[in-house]
Amino acid sequence: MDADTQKVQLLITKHNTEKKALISILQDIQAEYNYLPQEALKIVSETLDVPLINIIGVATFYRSFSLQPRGKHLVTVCMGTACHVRGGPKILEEFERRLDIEAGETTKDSQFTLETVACLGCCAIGPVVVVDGNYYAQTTIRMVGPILKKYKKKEKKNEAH
Amino acid sequence: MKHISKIKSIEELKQTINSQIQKKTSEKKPVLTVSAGTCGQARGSLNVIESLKKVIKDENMEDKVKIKVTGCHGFCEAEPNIIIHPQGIFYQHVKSEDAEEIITDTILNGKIIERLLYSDPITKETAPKESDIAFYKKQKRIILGDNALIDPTDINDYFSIGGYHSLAKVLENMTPENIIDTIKQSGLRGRGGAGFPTGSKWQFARKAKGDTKYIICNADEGDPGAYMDRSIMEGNPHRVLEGMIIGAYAIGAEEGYIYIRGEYPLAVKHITWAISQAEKMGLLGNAILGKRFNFQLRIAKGAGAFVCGEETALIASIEGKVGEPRQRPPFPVVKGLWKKPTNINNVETWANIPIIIDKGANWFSQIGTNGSKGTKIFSLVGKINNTGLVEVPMGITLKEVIFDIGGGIPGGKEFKAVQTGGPSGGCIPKEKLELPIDYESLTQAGSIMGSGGMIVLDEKTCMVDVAKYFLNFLRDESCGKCLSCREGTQRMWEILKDISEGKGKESDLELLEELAKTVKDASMCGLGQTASNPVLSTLKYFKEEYQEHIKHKKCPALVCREIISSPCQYICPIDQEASVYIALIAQAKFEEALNIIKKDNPLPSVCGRVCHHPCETVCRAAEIGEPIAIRSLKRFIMDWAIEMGYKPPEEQEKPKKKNKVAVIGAGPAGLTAGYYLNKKGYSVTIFESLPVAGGMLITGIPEHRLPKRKLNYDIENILKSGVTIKTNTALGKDFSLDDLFKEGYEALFIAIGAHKSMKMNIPNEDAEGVIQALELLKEVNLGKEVKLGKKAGIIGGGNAAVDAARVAIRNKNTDKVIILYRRTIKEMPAFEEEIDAAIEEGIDIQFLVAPNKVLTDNGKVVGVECTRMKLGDIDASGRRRPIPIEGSEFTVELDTLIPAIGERPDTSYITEKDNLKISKWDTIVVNEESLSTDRKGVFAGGDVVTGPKTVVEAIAAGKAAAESIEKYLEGKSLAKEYKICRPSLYIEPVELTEKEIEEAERPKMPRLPVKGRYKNFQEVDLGLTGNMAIKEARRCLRCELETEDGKKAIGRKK
Amino acid sequence: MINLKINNLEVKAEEGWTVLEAAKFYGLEIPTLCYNEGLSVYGGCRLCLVEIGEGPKSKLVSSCTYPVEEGLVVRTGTKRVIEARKMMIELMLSIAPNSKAIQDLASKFGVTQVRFKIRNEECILCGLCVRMCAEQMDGRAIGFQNRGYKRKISTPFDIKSEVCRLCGGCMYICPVCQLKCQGPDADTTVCNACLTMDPTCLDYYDELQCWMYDAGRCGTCVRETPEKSDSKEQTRNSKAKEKNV
Repeated sequence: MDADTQKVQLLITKHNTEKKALISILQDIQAEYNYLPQEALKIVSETLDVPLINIIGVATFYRSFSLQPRGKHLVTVCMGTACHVRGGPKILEEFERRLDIEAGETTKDSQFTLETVACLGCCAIGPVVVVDGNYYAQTTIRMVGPILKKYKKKEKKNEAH
Repeated sequence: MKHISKIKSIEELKQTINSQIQKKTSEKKPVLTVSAGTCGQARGSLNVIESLKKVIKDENMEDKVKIKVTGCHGFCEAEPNIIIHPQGIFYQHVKSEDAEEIITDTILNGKIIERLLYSDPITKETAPKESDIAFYKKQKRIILGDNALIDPTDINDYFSIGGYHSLAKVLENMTPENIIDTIKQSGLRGRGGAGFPTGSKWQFARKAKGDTKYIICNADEGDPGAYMDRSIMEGNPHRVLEGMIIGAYAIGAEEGYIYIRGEYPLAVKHITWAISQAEKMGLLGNAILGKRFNFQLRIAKGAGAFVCGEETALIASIEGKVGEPRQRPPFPVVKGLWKKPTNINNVETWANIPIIIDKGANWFSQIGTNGSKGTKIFSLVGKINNTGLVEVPMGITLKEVIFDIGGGIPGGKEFKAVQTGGPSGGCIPKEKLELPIDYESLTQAGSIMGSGGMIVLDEKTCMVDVAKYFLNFLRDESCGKCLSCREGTQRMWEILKDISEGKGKESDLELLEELAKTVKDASMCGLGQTASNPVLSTLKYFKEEYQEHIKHKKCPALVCREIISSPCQYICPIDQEASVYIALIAQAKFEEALNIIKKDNPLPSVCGRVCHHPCETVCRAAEIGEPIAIRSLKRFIMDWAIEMGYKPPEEQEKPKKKNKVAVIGAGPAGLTAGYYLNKKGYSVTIFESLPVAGGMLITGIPEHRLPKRKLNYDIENILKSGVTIKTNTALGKDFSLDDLFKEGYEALFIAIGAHKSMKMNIPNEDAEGVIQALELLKEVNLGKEVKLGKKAGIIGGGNAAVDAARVAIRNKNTDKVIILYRRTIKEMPAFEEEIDAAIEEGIDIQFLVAPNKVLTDNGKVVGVECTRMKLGDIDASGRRRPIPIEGSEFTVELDTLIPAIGERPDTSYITEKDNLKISKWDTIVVNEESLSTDRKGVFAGGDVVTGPKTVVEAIAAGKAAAESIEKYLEGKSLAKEYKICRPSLYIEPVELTEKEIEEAERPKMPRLPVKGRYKNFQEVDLGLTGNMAIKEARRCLRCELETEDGKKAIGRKK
Repeated sequence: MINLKINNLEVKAEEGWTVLEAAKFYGLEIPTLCYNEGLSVYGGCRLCLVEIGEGPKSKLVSSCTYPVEEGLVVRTGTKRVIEARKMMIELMLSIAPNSKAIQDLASKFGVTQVRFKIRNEECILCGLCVRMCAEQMDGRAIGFQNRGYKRKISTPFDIKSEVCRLCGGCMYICPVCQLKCQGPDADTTVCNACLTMDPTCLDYYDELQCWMYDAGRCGTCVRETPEKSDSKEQTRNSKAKEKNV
């Protein structure tokens, strides 16, 4: 997706074009485009007068930024300690198996991106999976299929319209 | 959101607070407080709220009852939960469907709904009020308690519980120095983990040079498993704000930041709203409450980096840079954010400030221990019954938190360790449970307090896996600057990975410790300096577990997948490749399945009927349904082989070796040893004292469980392979060990089993009508006529007892059979299915009963006098000890008494001359690994060594003996080589349809109806049909395909 | 003037100096790798560790970043320091066994084994090239990316940088690819032979990290064998040549 120069400029001016607001600016761009397009980063570099290499350094350091376009649906599996001892890794494997991708990748049809997060802080209801902001508590291997089906169905519904 | 207008003076603030408090106390309506933090929402609390609102609207009760949506109440296990004020009734696991009942029953009619009440996991007692629940009893919720009282999105609610009263007090009566002194005196220490005295930090910040100062709230709660800060920020954000405003005033800062994780969207929302409301009310901004005090608060959202919880990295992040920690000194209080003095405190620390100001330093310092004052919030998660956030006074013991508050470990499993302090902390084992919780004691034990994560681990948690997990986390979260941290965590992880995959070497532990020490010493920041803790603490307390992985290639907790492969094969004492033969059955390849079975098991028809199937107890299919019926599948194949008249293909003549080996005892251990020794080319003779071969298989297992035809099929196959059996030849009577050596046998394997029944040691136990269970079983199996009376009583609870009972009830004379057992059904060692069958067949079982004396009349049994028992503490056998109840004697009328209290080996034939060591339990003492005795060339195994154990363990002993004897005869070392568990081949998995997966169910074994079993010994279990077997085999999860080897074999590896 | 103690020696240092600078001033040798006088300090290689303080609260810090303090007690050769240093060298060897600079350090400090899996990467992330490019050459074409074990140095988007002027500074300053060690033992990965061999120059550059993407065509990394060496070296070399006959 190409970054709209105007849009990006607006996001920068929203933070008073301050160098120190770099992370907040990147967070806004990430929220807008679902990833950080190369063009957008170049615009930020020019506008803030920060070397591009530094912007890239920040963008790749923090987990919540993605330099690759993300799929339509973001599946996040929690890998916190409590979720781990309750079988979290098996849930991740089941997602990997069904989507035929590894954690950090996006399906070929750009529908799903599978990621892990170190801890969501919902340890009591682990293992936890979040899809598009919806939290699933006490996930089991058996729930993985139906969860994916729900979002695939959404696609079919949207297509039908 | 009503009524937000600027408060212009301290007096006005006090009035606002008072009026809100008045409003609250004069509220007469009952209030339904629903927990709707992130977890509550994930569990459907928003739906519950909607349903409640709808019911209230429909019933026109809007002015009769209020709903208050709060943050998390802390008892996460119970969410969604509702607390009904003013009564304080606590409902848990509330669903939308319950809304109507709650309104009509509880609100309107004051009736308590039992099923929604909390019930103790062990005693099952219900607790109607929050104050009755064990989870809350030992807590002191000076911070979290408020969560259940307020709507976090409404500042007026915060006023109504006295919020911002401390701010008023501070601005009215206290100087910055007063405030700092108060905090110092209170003894408050930083709650983020390091525990630095807060008052001192504030003082340093105040005294630091410069006019511009900053305060920061560290809300980057990155420790996996910790979510206390999230709960405070979601549920009571104004408390944090109030603490910060007071802090800013004390230190002299005009700007502050709350650095909050991006992964906490709801908390971000609530804090943002809170700041906006506080600003609108003039509690933030310029000239706060008319005083010369400006303070602006901003939010900085974290972008996903655990290291940004470290103060200097956090500062770098706010400055818009990568989160790389900086060298200290200079410390942030001197040179922090933009090189200005900065005071950073954790959320919980800030949340403590208002109450310290309000109630005074003295009050606060009364709570806790000498060195650690106040309370601490812990997130109690993992393998624990009552998961949730607990706030306890410092000094409470770990045991109290885990067992009294936490309710212990679910599933009756055993506690193993508790992990505190997150990835920077360590594991604390069982032995240290009485440890009081405070900063110093946790550090001394090898862990740290940390931010408060408390992850409980049980016997099914592998400590190597836990260490590996943390190192994996740390190698990813390390900022990467320091070589020691970046490379060190990576290399430690690599070593742990190898160990967890069975590739560990002896030298690994030493290298791990050395590397761990260096990483700790050489790294610049807290992350690197504590990165070694998970490794060092697990090595300290659980070294044997590491050794098991390295030396024996075993994972005792059954977790490490590369070591376990398929748990059924892993746990099987004879290494049967269950998942392979099951996979073949699924494809109807019965002959190949048979070959897999026979490869490792010379007595499969027996095992397919009577094995205690440890494989099924660890089968992973049980996690999503029921374990695979592995034993029945094995039996199916063996029955198929017999029915088809299967003839194995001609085997090539194997080269014969010149050595002769003698096996004493043709039971399962002896037969197996003979079979494998013969296969290796040795000339084997088995000496058996009875007229028939089989040992306990023929003398101890009744025909209705193991038909002679099936047993003989297995024994015939062993004989056909070339093994010679000499029956009616007994050790001691017909020959001695020396005789065998003289005859040219070069190695001996003693496997005479345990056939001597233990005496009860009560009066008259030799009367007429008393027959030992083993005697009864043997006589009946050998076809002799046995006279039993009308009413038979069996003393005991093992398989022999139940077998004897089921044999007795088949006796033509006997009408009634009763089993008398001294403990409860939970402790009864017999197989569950046997006990069920016995009850089915009309056998009575009485528990907690022990015999005192046999009552006789003319030397014949007429009854037995018994005492009732109760259970006491756990004894040496691992079971709870039965204690007689005084004066509870009673008589059971019988004419036949069958004791079955245990067996021992009869080693009376073994004399001093034989040079073998005999233990006090009459067993032969051997080297556990090689089964060699003290005498050269003499080996022993099976029940004669272990005491009565299972069939498959005896077969395993036979196999091991054969290996050892071969090594001995070839002059090699007898040391055991440990290999990793892998199947001999990998079969393609079958694809199940969605429907199949939905409907998959373990089949019920077809059985002979009770009527058909009357007074005969027909086999009761009839066996699965072909279709049932294939269907069941398809249900197998094929765990061996999940290892790297397995994936590669079927081409699944990427 | 700030008074401190280094190895029991009373020394004086200027305010703002680092412990490393103070030690160097007094001629005390502390090994370094990522330190360069002309560039800002980084403190990443952890070779220059020294032990400060005494008793149970003593700790190791990187002397290149630690500022001098009044009354500071510094020791450069304690057991802790030596063990940490050796482990750092061992780790570096396991990453880049072909670096002469690292092999030299191994020889000097007695590192005779590498117990980790060899990775054969050509970069130990010391950051000298990044600082060279940014501070001395004002290029800012390369920088650190990612974090933890995935950390790397590269250009934006891993393609040729628009601001790279092909100056070769990064190659020049890199301790790993300056000189290749020809002698790491296949079994131990440790060479220890550089004291008896000619300094070698790069004969191959297939797997170089060359951000100039010219794969050696620029000629910077290929150097002539130095003709002029000091007398000590000459004697050493000729002795070696005699031995090898």
